Amino acid sequence: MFRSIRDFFGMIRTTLIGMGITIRNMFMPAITIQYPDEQLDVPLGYRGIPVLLSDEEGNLKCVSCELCAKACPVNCIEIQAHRDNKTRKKVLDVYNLDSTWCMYCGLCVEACPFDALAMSDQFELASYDLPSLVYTRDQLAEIGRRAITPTDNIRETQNFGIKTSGGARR
Amino acid sequence: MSDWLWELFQSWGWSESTFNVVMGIIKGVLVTAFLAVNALVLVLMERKVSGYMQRRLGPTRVGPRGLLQTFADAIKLLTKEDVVPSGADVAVFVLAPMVFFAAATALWIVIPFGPQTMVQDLNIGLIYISAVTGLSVLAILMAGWSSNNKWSLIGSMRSAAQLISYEIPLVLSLVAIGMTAGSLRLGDIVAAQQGGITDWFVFPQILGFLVFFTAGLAEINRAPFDLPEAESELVAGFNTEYSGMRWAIFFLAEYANLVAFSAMVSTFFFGGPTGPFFPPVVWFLIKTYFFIFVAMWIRWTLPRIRVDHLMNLGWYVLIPLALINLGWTGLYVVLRG
Amino acid sequence: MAETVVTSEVMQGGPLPAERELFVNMGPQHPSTHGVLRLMLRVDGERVLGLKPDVGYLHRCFEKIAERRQVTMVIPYTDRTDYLAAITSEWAYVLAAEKLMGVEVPERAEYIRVIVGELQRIASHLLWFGTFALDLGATTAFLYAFRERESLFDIFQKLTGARMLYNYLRVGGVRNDLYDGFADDVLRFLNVLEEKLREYHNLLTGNRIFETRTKGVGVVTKEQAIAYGASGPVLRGSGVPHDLRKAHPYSVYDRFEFGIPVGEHGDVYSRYVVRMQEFYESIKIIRQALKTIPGGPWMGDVPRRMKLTGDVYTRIESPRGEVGVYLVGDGSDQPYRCHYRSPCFVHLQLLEPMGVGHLIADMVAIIGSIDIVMGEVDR
Repeated sequence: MFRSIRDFFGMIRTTLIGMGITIRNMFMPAITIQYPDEQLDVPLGYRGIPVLLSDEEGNLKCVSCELCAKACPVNCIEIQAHRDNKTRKKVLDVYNLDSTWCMYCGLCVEACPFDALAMSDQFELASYDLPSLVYTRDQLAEIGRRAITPTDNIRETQNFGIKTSGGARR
Repeated sequence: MSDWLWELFQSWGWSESTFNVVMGIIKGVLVTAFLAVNALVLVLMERKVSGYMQRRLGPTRVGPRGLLQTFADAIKLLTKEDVVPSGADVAVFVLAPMVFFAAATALWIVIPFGPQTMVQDLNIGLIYISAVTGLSVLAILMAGWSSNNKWSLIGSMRSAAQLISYEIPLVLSLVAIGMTAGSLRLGDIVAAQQGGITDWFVFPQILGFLVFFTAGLAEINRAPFDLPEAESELVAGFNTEYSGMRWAIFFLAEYANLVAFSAMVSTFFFGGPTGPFFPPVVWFLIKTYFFIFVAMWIRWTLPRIRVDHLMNLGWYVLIPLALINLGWTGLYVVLRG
Repeated sequence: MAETVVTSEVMQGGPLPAERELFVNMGPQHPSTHGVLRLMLRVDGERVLGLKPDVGYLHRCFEKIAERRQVTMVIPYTDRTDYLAAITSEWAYVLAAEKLMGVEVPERAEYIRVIVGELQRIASHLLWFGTFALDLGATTAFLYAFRERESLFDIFQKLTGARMLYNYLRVGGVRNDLYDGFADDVLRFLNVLEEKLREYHNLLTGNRIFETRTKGVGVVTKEQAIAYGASGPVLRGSGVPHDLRKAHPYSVYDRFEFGIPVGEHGDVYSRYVVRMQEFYESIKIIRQALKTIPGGPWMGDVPRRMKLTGDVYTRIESPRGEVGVYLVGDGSDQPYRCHYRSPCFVHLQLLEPMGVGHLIADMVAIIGSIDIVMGEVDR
């Protein structure tokens, strides 16, 4: 019984110490970000949705080699292309990226040898409309054109990513 | 003021007994309204205090700085589906929150808002308090049993054991208060502490204060003694099957208990609704809300006590301490003359 | 109340619960069983008489998926087994693949792996600390721990692009080099962490309520721990000084000086103390690594077409214990079989000897002390 009584006073003492910590923290500023009034600034290289990059003239850099589709662990990229008879080059017709399957792992960007893909900083992709979550070639290209960081040498200097202006919502 | 009202009613030809009944009803309604407003404030206060202690902001969206949050909560609770679990004892299930609320409200008959302002200054005030605090045990047992849910049952059994064990040190510390004040009336207890800080009962009764505070926290099921509703262990204990307005009534009654507990602490040990400059009601609010804040502060700091340690604490620690306090108080009263 | 409860235990010929006993299901949805763990408890009032864990609610066919993916493509999946210590899960797999293919990892990459692995250990232990405190009722400690985790997430975000599931390790090295200012960020974080650890000790360790709830609860003796195959803090909490980073050093751990915290009594409190001490050891390792990290490539010479032949079992010390990967190759670039030895799966067996005889409230503390991650148990 005496040990319990001693424990009780020990409890009171440690309680007061703990209370000192919580009351001190009460007057420190909040560490939470008041989303959506304040937006989170993600660093370059953040793995949002992968987007198609264009060169200076606005043409897609993608040559339809389909390495990204093969590298994807969940097969979320669907590619269709045809060969243009005049220029003998392949032209990308369909590039569907199913964002509900995508793991945002970045393996597609690592696989691309032409700097045609990059991880964007778009992560606010929620939508009420399920089919709209499959991003088409034009949607991805449009986001890619809104890049505000360099779109060359994505692998070496840009940490596989770009930052964009505006949002991903249509 | 009640004299003025009595003269008014006399001029209308009302008898004294009618007057008493009507006054009783009016006071009861006022107290219940006070409790309702308090519950509104406390719901928000708890969330804001816990938020700031955890370096976040708590509710901010509804109303300026989140002040109207409770209204949003109330509307949500009112529009919820009324679920009664299958196999539950419906009559008991429905009655349990009402009994709990009745127990919490009945306590407020004697709590003083001012030196002579209370619903009824019973001359057995302290005994009445000890009696009414036992009613909530019944309500919790009813809730746990009628839910037809093993977790609720375990929660309510735990709670019954806890509440019964902590009644005794609570009552013993009240006895010491009665001895120091020389009366069981709460009005007299407040009057005995009128002379300023030096008259406050907390000084001769520091041990009694510790015992009362701890036992009181245990009686109102508040952390670190909140096993009956231990969220991380029993989902919600005896509350598990209650949703919507029924749950809200439990919740409000708990907050009413909390306010009553703080008011009692401030009345018995810290002078109650008395003090310089401000009118007594303001002092009542200041002191009561200070102790409410302390109770919340403790809740958000400490881990939960396990049920057998709880029993240990109640029987092996608080009762001996309360008895020692009683002995000391007797000596003090005799020496004081 | 004396109903006949037909349960899987009863159906397997187990005893019917007696008059006073209750058969209670703890989980799969329960605020304290971390993840979807179902514990079938036989209780008498509050006392636990029998216990049986039921797993499989988070099974996502990881090992089957690994049989149909190329070597690098499996790495994001390994992240998601032990999602709270993703780096160590990747590391075990990547080590196995490197052994099978005979790939050498450059020095700089090894140092980076060690730094990131120890940072991950700190992150995982922070989460363990937060949830452990939360289970015991101290809600505020949980938020404080997550505040530190957020700083770590920011560092990881800048380095790898993701906050929690990094996909950072590759066969032969790491995905990308450290960014400029990484060392400064990490050192600053470590200084803050040391301060905060003092705060955590004040808030929880010295607290009498906490001590009475964890001392003497869930005892595992040395012999039991070894017999059941425990590893990590569960093993060390029982007094066995076995840490894979010292006993079978992998990567460049043999170049660093650090201690192995060992507990005395094998109870929940000992395991708690072991993990708290591991914070300090990890901080030591990271500081040494940052000081001596060499320059050079962060990716070794990996053949264009990866070919896995033979089989190997590699193991590493994750925050939860020994994570092992048994990788079998059949000459193609996809693993023929990839089995994950998960430490938490093994520790689940220990729940019964630890929990029987204690109260339900203790079960919560015991589960917290094992630091269970169901993603790892069920894969």
